[in-house]
Amino acid sequence: MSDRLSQLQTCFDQLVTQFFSSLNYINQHHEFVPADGQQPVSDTAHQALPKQQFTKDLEELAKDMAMKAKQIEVLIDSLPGIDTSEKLQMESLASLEEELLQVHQERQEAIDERRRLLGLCDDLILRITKDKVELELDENA
Amino acid sequence: MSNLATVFPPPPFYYELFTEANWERAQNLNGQAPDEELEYLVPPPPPETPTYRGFGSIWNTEEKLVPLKEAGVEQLYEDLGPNNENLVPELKKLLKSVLVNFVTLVGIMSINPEQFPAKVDDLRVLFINIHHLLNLYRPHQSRESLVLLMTEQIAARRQEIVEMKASNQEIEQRIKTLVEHLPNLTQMEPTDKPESEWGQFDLEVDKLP
Repeated sequence: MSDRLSQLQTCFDQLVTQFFSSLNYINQHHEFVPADGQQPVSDTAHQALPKQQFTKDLEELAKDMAMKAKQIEVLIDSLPGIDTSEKLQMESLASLEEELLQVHQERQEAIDERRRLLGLCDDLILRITKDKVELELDENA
Repeated sequence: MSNLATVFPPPPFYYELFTEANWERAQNLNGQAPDEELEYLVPPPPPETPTYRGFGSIWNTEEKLVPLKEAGVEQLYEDLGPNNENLVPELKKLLKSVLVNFVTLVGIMSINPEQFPAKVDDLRVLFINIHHLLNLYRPHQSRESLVLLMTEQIAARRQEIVEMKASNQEIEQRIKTLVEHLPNLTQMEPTDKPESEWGQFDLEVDKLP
């Protein structure tokens, strides 16, 4: 998922595309209205639609546009950090950096502790093995 | 055919100079003047003029968002203010203007189509303004994303530490139990193990809770 600003810019671009295709649609599919007492013009390259269908399509296009506009409004409202100033941001970045270093340190301590425990286990295993070998030697003697 | 042959020019002659040895020598120049071989391995200084030419266009030396006025476009929004508090209302205003202007455009097209270019230009200016406004906000968003990223990283690390500490404690507990169940372990004298290590081991065991 891209960031909010890019999403917004994409949405605005889509809105323009909708503008264009709506105008194009109207241009392609409108009916010819006859001037007073004359025959309506006809054009073979033009695909006029029945009035009912045409109006329905127009409504749908308008609805899509309204939806896109609403979507844009929602995105505008959800822009990140809209109520923080640059100074505040830099301050929280500095404190986060410090915290990150500290957590890093703690993590390193935990890792060291684990290493120490592993060493203890190794010692124990060695010790037990040795005891066992010595016991067997005693038995054999 | 001869046209096709020139589509991809051969690599420039100096590519052969970029050898490991030359590269290493170039790293160790320390400000000395490079000899002929190294000339191409030392990056040139940044341009001092405010603009420079590259790939057939003119570029600004300093990377910045050119203000709308300098780009010759009318600024339709109010300035953002110190905390960007104007961004949301201004963006919404621009969006409404775009919608109204489109409806007007459709009206013009149906009544007097010849007059459409002016309206289309209005829409163009509006959209340039919107995109400019959004780009102005980019540095702010980058900082915000960084804050979020760091917060997530800290949380993940803390979780990791908690888990590691828990398992460390469990291991410690097991070792302790084992030592308790094998009392002869500590009674026996170590033979070829250095004393200090065993002494340390006993100490560690004593320290266990």
